Amino acid sequence: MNNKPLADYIVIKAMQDGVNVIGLTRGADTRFHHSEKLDKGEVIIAQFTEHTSAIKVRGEAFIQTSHGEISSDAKK
Amino acid sequence: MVLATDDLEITCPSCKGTGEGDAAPCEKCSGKGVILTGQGNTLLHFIKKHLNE
Ligand SMILES: [Zn+2]
Repeated sequence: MNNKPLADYIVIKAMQDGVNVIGLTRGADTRFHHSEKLDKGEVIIAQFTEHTSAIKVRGEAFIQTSHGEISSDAKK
Repeated sequence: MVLATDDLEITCPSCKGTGEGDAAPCEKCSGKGVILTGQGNTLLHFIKKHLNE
């Protein structure tokens, strides 16, 4: 039985078209290695992995994490 | 269109697509100016794999 806790997931729901979810690399240099475009109403469930240590959300979205919920605002 | 350019890549928010950083090239996107999406990578890898068949 593996009792290791699962790595953290975050849930992101786009509240407008063209929300960008960008994964940043783990390690000394933090590059953008992956992106996803979400249109209004689309949801992505993303996990922090050995490759991804940070996730950036651009655009108006609703975000759930184990720490709580937060909204990101529309791009200016 | 079924697949728009935006679905395949997005403009790098750090260099705004120029690919140039403070001491070029942009280190966030490795100078490409864009960041591929999952769909973009899927299509790219598929084409690379079958291009010379
Ligand atoms: Zn860049």
